[in-house]
Amino acid sequence: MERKEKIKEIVINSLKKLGKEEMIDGFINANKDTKIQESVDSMAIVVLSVDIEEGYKDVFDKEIKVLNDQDPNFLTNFRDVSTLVEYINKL
Amino acid sequence: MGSQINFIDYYLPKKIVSNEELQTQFPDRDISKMANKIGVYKRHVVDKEETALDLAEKSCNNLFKTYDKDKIDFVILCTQSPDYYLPTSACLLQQRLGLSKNVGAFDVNQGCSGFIYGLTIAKGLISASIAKNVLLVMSETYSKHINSSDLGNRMIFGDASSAIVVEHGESEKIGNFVIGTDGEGADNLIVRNGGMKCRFDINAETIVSRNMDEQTNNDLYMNGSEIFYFVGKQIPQVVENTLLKNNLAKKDIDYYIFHQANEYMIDFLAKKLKLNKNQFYNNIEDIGNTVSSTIPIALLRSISEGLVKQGDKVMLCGFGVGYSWGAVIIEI
Repeated sequence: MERKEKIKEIVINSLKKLGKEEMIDGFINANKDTKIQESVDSMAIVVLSVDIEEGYKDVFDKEIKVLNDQDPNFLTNFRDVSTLVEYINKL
Repeated sequence: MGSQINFIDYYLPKKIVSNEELQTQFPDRDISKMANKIGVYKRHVVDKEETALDLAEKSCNNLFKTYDKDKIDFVILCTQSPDYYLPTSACLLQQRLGLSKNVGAFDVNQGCSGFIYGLTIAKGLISASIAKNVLLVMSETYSKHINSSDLGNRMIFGDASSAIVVEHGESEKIGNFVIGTDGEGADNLIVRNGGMKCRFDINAETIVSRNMDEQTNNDLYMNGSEIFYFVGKQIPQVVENTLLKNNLAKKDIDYYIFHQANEYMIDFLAKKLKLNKNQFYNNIEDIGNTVSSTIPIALLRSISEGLVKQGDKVMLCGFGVGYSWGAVIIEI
């Protein structure tokens, strides 16, 4: 599986987990088009980031930091699954 | 010789700010949605003239209703809201409480990990035979640091003081500590002006956050997302390390009392650590995040509510501004 596909799988798994915990139906059946930012607040973004980072470490054996709240435009990376995958792929 | 926590009490300022009152002040914000997430519905705040030292005096006097103050031989006051740069508030507290002139007294400038740091010092003083009965006081008035137009922080924080006595004893009931620091996170929870580097600036520019909260560099700034992120990454490891350092496993711990930052964060930690929610104290609905006092207040309340009993092993964990963290396992 190519790198971006693996990242997409990590993101979708994390979204499904968050969807169950926060009861967000759209996340439980997440796919590449799922909108993220409009459905969650800043605290859920943090939970999602931490989970994605752990998934990434498991798959790629490398630490990354998905959350970058110092960047004023940071949340745009969380617009939807595809945007987030692109962002993580560049980290 | 060992050390143990035998007496705890606290004091909350009389003035209460409810969420309804905040909603009136911020009609355009959805306060009930925020409250459901952070779990705070009201908080106590000091009046203009009331300081952390005043609160400290009152929490100690509450404690002295059941404890003989003449036994105290050391005072540690944890606060980030001192009355003066110098002298320390602890010296003033010694005089106000009428404690012996033979007591040692100093302040510790620490926030949400302050109680754990205070315990490390108290245990050290006792184990080195420098003191026998240490009065450890936490007192904080973050409301004085928060801009009145900063709803986010006004929702979360409440003022309070708590006081405990750490006494020498036959057996050791305060276990091995895990403590840590990461100054890289300093900018994420800070009052920039008022110290020696940047003096208080009456003309400081107002900054509006993404959430429409307003503050200047004279006020408390908190990047909630980054703080939560630090907690989510760091604290599960601290818990594991504390168990390891005390040769204990999760099954040996009867109850967990973590810094009561906000309800969502505490719930998240419980899930992440795969802990039973019944073993995890989570209740700040009537007082908010009282900084260094959250753990002692939660400890006293959990004992009063019968959640923690004599002989129980309880893990305490504090974390926050600095970044700074600390954890320990105590026996009740």
